[in-house]
Amino acid sequence: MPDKKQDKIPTSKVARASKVFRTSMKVGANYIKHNAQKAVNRNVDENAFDEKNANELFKLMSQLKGSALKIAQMMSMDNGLLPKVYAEKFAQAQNSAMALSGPLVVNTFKKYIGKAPNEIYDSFKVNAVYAASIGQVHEAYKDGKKLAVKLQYPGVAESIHSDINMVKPLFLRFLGIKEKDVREYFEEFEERLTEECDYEKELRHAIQIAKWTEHVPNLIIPKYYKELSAKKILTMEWIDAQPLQQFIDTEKDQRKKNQVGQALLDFLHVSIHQHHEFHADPHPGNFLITKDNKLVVLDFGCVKKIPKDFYIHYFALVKDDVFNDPKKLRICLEHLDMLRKGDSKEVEALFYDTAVKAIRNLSMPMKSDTFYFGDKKFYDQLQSQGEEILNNKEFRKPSAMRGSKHAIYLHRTFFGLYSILYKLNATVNIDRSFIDHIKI
Amino acid sequence: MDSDLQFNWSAVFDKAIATCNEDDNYAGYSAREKMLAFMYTFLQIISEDENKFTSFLKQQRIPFIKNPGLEELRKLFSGYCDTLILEGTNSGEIQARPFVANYYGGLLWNTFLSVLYYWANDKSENKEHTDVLVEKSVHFTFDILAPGVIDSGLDLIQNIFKLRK
Ligand SMILES: Nc1ncnc2c1ncn2[C@@H]1O[C@H](COP(=O)(O)OP(=O)(O)OP(=O)(O)O)[C@@H](O)[C@H]1O
Repeated sequence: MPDKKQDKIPTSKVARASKVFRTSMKVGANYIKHNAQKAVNRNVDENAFDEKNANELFKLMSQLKGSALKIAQMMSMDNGLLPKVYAEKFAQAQNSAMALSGPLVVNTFKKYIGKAPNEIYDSFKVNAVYAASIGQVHEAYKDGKKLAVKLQYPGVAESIHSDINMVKPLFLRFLGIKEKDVREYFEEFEERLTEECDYEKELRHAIQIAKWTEHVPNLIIPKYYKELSAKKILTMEWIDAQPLQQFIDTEKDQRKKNQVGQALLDFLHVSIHQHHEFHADPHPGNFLITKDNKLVVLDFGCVKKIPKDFYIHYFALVKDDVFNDPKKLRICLEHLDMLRKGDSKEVEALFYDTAVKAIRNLSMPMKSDTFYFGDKKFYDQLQSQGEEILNNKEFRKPSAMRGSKHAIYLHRTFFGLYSILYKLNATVNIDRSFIDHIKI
Repeated sequence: MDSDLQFNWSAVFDKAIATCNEDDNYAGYSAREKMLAFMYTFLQIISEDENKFTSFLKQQRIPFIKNPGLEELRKLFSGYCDTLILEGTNSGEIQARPFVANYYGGLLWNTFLSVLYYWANDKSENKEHTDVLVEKSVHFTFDILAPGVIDSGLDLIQNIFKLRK
């Protein structure tokens, strides 16, 4: 854990490159072995192969640290970009720690706040209590209050670009896809990672969203301290709580799970429907659960805002009178860049079907006042929808890069939300009043 | 070129040591951590007058040969290292190796020099890359000084010689 020595982090470009190379060789070897086995025995389990490869990639990622692991996690969040087996592996990926030395911690404070930690807190633990992908978390006390202090690793923000370019070929080979088909995704990753390194922005977002969602029951957003934060340092209130994943694995009482699920859904719905600006990274690692089953939201590094006009055309699709009216449906889909004027008949048919299917799945829970998310059929449909797109060659053509950025953010958020609710086996009330405000 | 000699290295050095000692944690640090703290503090102090120090350091072409502009600093630094090495040897953090141990100070000086040159040319935001280099190179150097692989290697060689006799 955090007392591992710093020299174990392969930050030099050469060290990283050789690691990437080594794993792609191993993956290649597995692939050959797999094909060889397949030739002999037709019954080789496709999943077994994926699993083995995911393990290799996973091992590499956990060594590379920093942005590389983050990319893997993001890709696993993005329904469809990674097949199910990988997605599960990476969603669980924990950061094996790299720790900054005590003197470097002090140095970082002096650089960014102008004072040593023991000058600004009543007490400060130099050894980190948690190590994350782009920073580490320390415990501190001030005025009798326990604080969590997040410190960003030096050089992380600057190495994002080269990190991504290093992992990209590996992913491409791994998944058998072409660079140009996923270029935009990688650009998005880069943008997101860069954003996550901006702690000043994160602080602003956290304070803003906390205010908006003040009235949501069973929800806790830690208080952030502006005067004790800076570009690479974030100070917030410490909340004693367990990781969401642990709660999911151990909690037996379904009522408690429902309460957590309800808080999560309300948290996102309020920000999406009332403010069109939301936490767009709902994966289990970003939430904690307190003893009295309240949901704690951490990490406001990925907050997205969608334009009002886009919001309306997106959620109009939830309304039956729009969805069932081919003319209105078309207007909406064009607005969302799912359909384009001038598409050939075949292309149009393909996208029309896919879009309609996707919307039907995502909006299903918004059509009733309560929804049971533990339904495996519903969840599998969501999952397979992405894999279908991944496997269909038509979607790899350049003309197939569809959907505006905003649609991608929303899909990802809902997919993340529904996945957690599925794991909670939650039955949740849906406040559908937002629908009345949508008119096109 | 006369300007090269105008630095008051001992003022910078003393300030760095004094600043280190102001930190309550410093006394409890291991030799490795003390070295880290010293380097970060030293860099902070010269950062206050960044242009002056970078332009001087950038002029130095052959850093590893005796350099009159840096000689005063080298002496001060070596004295500091001697105490650290003694401290580390007593605590078991550093391995006393016959003959080789005389070069430990030189090794640390070279580490420090390469950090200084890197710092002078570092264009990263807030010279963060230098922080990474300090961290890595100090750990690396102290890993060499620590008991470990090298000693088992030396032990092996000695044994091979014995066996051949
Ligand atoms: N306010 C807090 N109270 C208690 N624990 C916290 C708090 N903030 C962070 N932690 C702990 O530190 C861990 C890492 O924090 P966080 O997720 O914010 O970092 P991160 O850099 O976003 O990590 P990653 O990018 O890997 O998800 C959390 O999983 C949590 O266990």
